[in-house]
Amino acid sequence: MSDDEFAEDDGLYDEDGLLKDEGDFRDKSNLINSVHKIFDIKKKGRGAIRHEAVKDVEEFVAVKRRSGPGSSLNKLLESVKQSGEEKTVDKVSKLVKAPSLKSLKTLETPLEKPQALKAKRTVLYENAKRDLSRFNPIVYHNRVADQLVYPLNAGKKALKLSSTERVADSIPMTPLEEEMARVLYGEEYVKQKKAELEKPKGPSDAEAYALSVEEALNMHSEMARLRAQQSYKMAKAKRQNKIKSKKYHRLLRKEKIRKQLKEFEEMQKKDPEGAMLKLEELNKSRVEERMSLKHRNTSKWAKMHAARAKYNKDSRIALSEQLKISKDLTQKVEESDSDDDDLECDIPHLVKSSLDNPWMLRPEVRDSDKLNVYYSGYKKLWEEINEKKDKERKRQEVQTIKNKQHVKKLGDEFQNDNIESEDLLVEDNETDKSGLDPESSAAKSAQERKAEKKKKLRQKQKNNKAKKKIIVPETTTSTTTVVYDNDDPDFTELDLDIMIEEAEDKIKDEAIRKLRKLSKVEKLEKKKSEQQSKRAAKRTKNKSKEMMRGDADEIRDLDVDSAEQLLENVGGETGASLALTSVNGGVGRQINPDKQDTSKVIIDPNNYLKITKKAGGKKAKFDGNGMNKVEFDAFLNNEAASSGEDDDDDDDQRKLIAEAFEDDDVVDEFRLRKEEEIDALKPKDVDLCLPGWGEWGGKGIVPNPKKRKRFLIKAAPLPPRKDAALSHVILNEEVGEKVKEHLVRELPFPFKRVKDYEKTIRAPVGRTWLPEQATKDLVAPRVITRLGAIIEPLDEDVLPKMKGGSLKVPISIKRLARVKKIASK
Amino acid sequence: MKVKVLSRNPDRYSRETSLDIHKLPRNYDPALHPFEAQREYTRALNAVKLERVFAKPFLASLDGHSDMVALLQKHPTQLSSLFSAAADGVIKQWNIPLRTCTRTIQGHEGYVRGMTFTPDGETLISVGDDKNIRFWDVNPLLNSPEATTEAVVAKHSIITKYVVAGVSHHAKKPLFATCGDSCLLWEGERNEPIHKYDWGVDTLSAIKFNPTQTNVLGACANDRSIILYDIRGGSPIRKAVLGLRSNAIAWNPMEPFVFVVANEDYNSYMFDMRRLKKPLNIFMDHVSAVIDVDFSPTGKEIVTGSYDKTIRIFEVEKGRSREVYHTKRMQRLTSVLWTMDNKYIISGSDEMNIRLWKARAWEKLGVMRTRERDAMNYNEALKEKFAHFPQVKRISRHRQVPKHVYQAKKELVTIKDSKKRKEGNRRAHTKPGTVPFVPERQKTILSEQE
Repeated sequence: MSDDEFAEDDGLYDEDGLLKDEGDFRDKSNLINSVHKIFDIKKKGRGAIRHEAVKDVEEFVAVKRRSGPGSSLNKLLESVKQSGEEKTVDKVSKLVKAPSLKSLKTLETPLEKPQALKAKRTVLYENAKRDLSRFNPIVYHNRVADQLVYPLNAGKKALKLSSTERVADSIPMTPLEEEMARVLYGEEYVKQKKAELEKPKGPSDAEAYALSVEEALNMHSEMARLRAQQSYKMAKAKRQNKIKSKKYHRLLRKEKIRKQLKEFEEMQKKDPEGAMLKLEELNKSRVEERMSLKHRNTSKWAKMHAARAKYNKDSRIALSEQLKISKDLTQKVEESDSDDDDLECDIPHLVKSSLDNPWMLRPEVRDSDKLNVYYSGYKKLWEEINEKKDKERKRQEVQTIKNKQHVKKLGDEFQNDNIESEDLLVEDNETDKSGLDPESSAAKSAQERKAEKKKKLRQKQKNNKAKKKIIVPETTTSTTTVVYDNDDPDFTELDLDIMIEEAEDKIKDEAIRKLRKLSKVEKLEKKKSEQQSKRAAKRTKNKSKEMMRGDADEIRDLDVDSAEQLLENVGGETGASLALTSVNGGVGRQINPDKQDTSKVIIDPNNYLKITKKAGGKKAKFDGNGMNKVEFDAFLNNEAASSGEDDDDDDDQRKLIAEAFEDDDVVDEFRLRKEEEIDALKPKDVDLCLPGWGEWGGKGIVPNPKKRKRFLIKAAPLPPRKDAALSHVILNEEVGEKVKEHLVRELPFPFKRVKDYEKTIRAPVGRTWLPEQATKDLVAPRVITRLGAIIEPLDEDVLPKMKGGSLKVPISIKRLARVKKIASK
Repeated sequence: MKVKVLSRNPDRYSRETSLDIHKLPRNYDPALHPFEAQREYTRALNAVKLERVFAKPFLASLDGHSDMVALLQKHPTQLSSLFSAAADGVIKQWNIPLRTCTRTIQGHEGYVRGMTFTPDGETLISVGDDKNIRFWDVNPLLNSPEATTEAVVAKHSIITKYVVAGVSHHAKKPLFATCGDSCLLWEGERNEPIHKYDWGVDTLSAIKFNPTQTNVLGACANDRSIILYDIRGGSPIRKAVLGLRSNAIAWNPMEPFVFVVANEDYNSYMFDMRRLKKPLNIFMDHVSAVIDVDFSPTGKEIVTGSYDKTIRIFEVEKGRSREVYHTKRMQRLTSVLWTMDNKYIISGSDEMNIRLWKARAWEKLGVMRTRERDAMNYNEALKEKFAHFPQVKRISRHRQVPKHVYQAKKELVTIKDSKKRKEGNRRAHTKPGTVPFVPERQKTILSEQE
């Protein structure tokens, strides 16, 4: 378009086509201005007019926008400013501000449809979850309530309706009712009610579907919120998809791992089984990593780097890093052994409880206790021995040779019974020692006694042979001795004999002390025996007892040999002799003709403990020859107690009791009784054989053993008895068969302890044992429903109302709504 | 000499009026009652035996349909009225206390697939195989004098594009949803649905609005999945795929996030909507597909009807049924529901009858005197207290079941055992960890889709 066109229209030019007044420049500029003005207006007007809605819009008619915000907008802004409400002003002014070219960007492409839908669903689900979780308190309260009376809100509804309301609700229907209403409330009331009746009951359709303003607002805001949430989700998804940075992904992965670790730790606390599973999973992933060739520098990338590595330091580093990762990932996690410690903790407690009861004392426990004492004793000894070592070597050699001779003599016996042989060894050693000892006065008598012992030994062996054949190999490991020195690792050679000497001295001392105690008891006995001479006579029959008394007498002048004898009497039972025997056993092995005297003994502490325990266990079996069982037990207890300071009143008491009941062999009797009981209960075989059936025969026929075998129905063996391991108890398993079917077999679910469950059963609930009200409370039903009362589903109204402002509605919309409201009025 | 005579003062023991309670002097010292627990145990045994003696659950049979009963619908506000629909399209209204049919309508041509009520209970909406959604006035006799025509003609009907397989009404708003090809949301009597929710291509067989969180919808799809919708966002929100197809869904009326589905694999599964990874509980015991399920209005129990011709009642927190109902003539169940007062169960089955059962078989319905009720309560308490005692448990659990159920159960046990054995063998003969131990509940859900 040009100015000429306009000129014609506006008549600014004269008919000749020339300007009226060329000289007046001022006029001219004015003119131009005015023309421009017109031009602008005209342009706008033309562009804006479009009369028909057409699909294809001509681009030439499109509105040309001015680049900046128009003055009209500013004017509008000012008007808003005048009206107040700074927030809106800010918002509008922000909107109005011209966006700089830099900030103008092309819109991003929307997410792909499935992804977008997924994001939407996720958001909606999260919201629904949150909404539903508002019911948690009510639901959980109802679940644990002592009593629920349905319908839950019955009381509330009844309260809401006052009597007047109820009256007002009733609508006169029949003519009679109408009449009555007229009389009661007047004509007006009846008319009004009739009108009400005629009116359609519910809201009209339009009313029902129309949203109230507030509802609309809520809906609007809700939708806006949803859209916003959705857009956040989508944006996030997009952003994460787009990021190419390896560092970012690495961080992400690390974070994930950290999270997993955290979860795992939590899981360990809460749900150890689940944690184990998880651990397995982790382990699995490790194995998979191992299986795969990941991080092994076999990939294309790695090969490329490998080619470059010679010249490029970075690629070398990268490769090594890869290898490191593989190493880290494939390394197996070490599991701690802390569990084992926990297991061991319980044992001492058990021992403690059974120590009081002599019947319950288990020999292994006793032995191991004493063993520890001696073990530590050896350790101490050890250090001293180290010093003396050189001096005494010669002496040892002489001794060992002598020992050798003795052992050869007794070689056969060794093989038959381990216990006895060890006892013997003790004796042998000691006799040797006593022979060497210039101070010992009773060397001869010791020799004599030795002969006696041998006799006894043979007897014992005979007994044992009859019972069981145990061939203990010569190299029985029970004879290895152990002294383990942590401080001196170089030291492996052990001078056993010196140790033996020292140990023996100790043991002897202890034995003597014990015998002294015994002698005290003897004195007491003597007093009694004067009064009960018969009993005393009986007592003399007991060989071992006699011996002990004899010993006790001797020991008054502290004879060493008698101590030995006593030791032997006691057998291998006590810890003292046990340790000794083990030591001696070691000697025995050393003296073995196949080996050199100076052979070194390599010591294994574990082995030592195990073996001695085993030996102790064997010895624990009471053979019945040595001492009376009761006495023996009493003695054992005495021993057990005597490891520290002894001479308690308890022991005396026990001894006294043991004396009193020495003749009654309670234990044996009990054992016999138990055996009888067991035999009686054993199921018998059923013999269905009919002699003579199916074969020629007459009197005195002997059935075919094959046939007999065929017709013999063998009884199934019984399951192991409950008291099989308890020597002091007979458990009658037959009693209570009838009661059994009435007894609860498993602890029901919520209970953790039997005691608690028993308590609930023991507490009565009936009127017979409880006051009326208590019973009523106890037997009140959990759920009460009334016949004919409708129970409505839980309503959202039960939730506490959200505080105002939780639904944020923009002020502008609020204002709009207000305006609409007013308009409708 | 004074002779002491036994004298009784009537004041000590006689009541002032006949309304007074008898004075019963008692000594509650436990030392004087050494056999409390034993006596109570005996009482508990007697109570549980009496329970079995009095267990007579069957109340009535409503006959009148001339084809299999397709479904039942309880009225939301009237306890006495029940609607039933048959496979031949006939809808009947029943008066339960009178046990009579009050109204018969030819509702649809062919199978009636679903019925639902508007929240006010004035209108019944039914859908059928004839692609019609029909609106019926529930109480035509009350609302207009010319009942004869109103009673048999639909108020309004909408013809749909596709076959509709189920319908459920919103608890508050005039909205209802139908299922079939896809989930459609309708408003009032408008002829076009206002929304269409699609997820996948398979059809939906059952749909149910949540009665409490009213914007949530649950539906069972034929592709073995359960789909949840939120009508506020206008979109499905979550999908969980089970091993087999689910036949029906029911929401817990007292716990809005809990729902239960009746599944083809003989079990029913209860879910927390917020955690679909694994079910809250699995209700096992049926020996054939479970067709329908309904919650008791207290939300503490569910009733299921199965293709194995039995109805079972489960307590929500237990996995095995507490009760099984069956009669010789009752065939495959098609529909079960629990009445709104928690006292009755109504079942519809293949052989055209509707049956009315007591929800608690031994319960005395009707007026009870205080002492009677106290005694009942005491017995119930005793049963609960001694429930774990084997004899009590045995008696209370013992039921006679039809032969086919018994045999099927045995077979199922065998199958289960052999599967277990096989798995054990595989576990024993493969590398440790290849055959993991998976809890039964985790096996249920094959996948959860966002």
